[in-house]
Amino acid sequence: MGESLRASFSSPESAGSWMASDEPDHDVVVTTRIRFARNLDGFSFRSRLTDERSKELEAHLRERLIGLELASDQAYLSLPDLDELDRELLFERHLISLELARGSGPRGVFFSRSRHVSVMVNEEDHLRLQVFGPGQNLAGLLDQMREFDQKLAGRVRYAHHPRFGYLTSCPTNVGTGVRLSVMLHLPALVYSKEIEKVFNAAAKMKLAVRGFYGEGTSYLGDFFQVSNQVTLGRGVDKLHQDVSKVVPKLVDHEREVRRTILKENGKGLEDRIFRAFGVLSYARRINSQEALELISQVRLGVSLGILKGLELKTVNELLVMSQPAHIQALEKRDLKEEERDVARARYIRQRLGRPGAE
Amino acid sequence: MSVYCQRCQKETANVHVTEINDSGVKAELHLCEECAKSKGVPPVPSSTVFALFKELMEKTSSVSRARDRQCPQCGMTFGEFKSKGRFGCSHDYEVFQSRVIPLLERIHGASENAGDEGAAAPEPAAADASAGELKRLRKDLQRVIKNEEYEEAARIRDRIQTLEKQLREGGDLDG
Repeated sequence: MGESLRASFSSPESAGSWMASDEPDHDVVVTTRIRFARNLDGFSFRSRLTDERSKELEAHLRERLIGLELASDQAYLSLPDLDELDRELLFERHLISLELARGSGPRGVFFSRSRHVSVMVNEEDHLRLQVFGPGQNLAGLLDQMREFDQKLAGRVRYAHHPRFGYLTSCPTNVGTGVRLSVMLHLPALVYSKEIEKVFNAAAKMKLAVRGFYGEGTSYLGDFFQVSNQVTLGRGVDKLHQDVSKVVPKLVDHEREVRRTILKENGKGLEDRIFRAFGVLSYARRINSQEALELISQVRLGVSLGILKGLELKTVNELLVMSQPAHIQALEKRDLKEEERDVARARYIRQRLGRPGAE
Repeated sequence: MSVYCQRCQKETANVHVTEINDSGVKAELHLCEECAKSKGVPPVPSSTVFALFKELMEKTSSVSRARDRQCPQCGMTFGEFKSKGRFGCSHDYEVFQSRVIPLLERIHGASENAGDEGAAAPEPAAADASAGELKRLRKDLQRVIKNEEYEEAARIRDRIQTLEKQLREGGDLDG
């Protein structure tokens, strides 16, 4: 399984298909992701499961998930059977969390790439159902998730309480167990330092705004995730409204500040974008952090029409393929950091294909 | 100076009886255990004292027991939950209900799930869960009353009433 997994993930086709390239608002809105947390009645949460019970749980869920016959390309992967590179690949494709990738014990992921669905088994909760797609598509993806959730509910016994709703390992997820997120590209808000105001305003609306890449309060590459903070006391439809109402406001705000910067410092912005493009086109080595920041500038350049002759699809692909495990999968071997940085730069140069950049 | 038994004059009197006759006249008798028994005086002050102690001990330990209360299914205590931030099993929400509720208010500004949950817990499972829940709740109610945790008892009683109402109404729909 490792071989074919690596092969399929190292092929750049559909590398960024979950990111927007021609959806409405694709200049700001990148992806939508919806996650349902569910647990089974009769099994303790992971920290209290014996190895025996943990194996039982995984086997049980594996069988039930496969039996759903979701799609022809559905697969179940048991994580302990994979080597580190494969686990990191799954994480970089956002099919599993870092916790599942680097954890231990019986655990797995059920997924279908064509349907952009993945289900983590035995992470913090027994089940983490996830569906994602390009652009702002909360309504469509929510319908999909509800259908999937109902199907699965018919085959397993969810742990559910008349007062507290769906019961989860962490009380921050109890109730609906639903996390609705939209990933936005907000380089102008970061550049103008308006992003702090966004954090504060969101918190007041019971929404969380977090950097998509990077840990905790840091944010790399100007990509942010807006999601509902609360999961209890408000129904899923209300939570959906909460998030979907704020997205257009953020889109408008980002566009407004982009226009302002163009007007007041057009040359400065242009210079920044072209320098980023230049470095990516010709550098002989580049680390993933720098690559991310420069690709973000280039994405802005393409969105504003300043960088012509480059497709957003290509930019999205670069974002995915320049990650550490992907570079190693491309080169078909494990690489030390310095070798990775060289390989990354080479891959990016080839994709951008500027003269004299081979 | 110890008092000798008024009857046998041999043993120390450690049973002190105050008899009040119909006219309200008090008479004090000081007897040893043996004589008190043969006189028909109900035993045994010492065991009453012991019983009192026992009750006191139980009261104190039930207070600390509330703090160390363990989920019967996974053995988690609320103290452990606080240090880990994660529960041990889904039953914990019920077991630690009185402390979970204020915690949820802090996190979500609410402690009750809204009506529309987005995905149907299939009706039969929900009804099963409710019936099982009621059984558990009634057992919990007995226990907390015994431990004199009346606030929690009131909460559980409310929960039972709500559940019973739900089940009744659910039954009517199927009717």
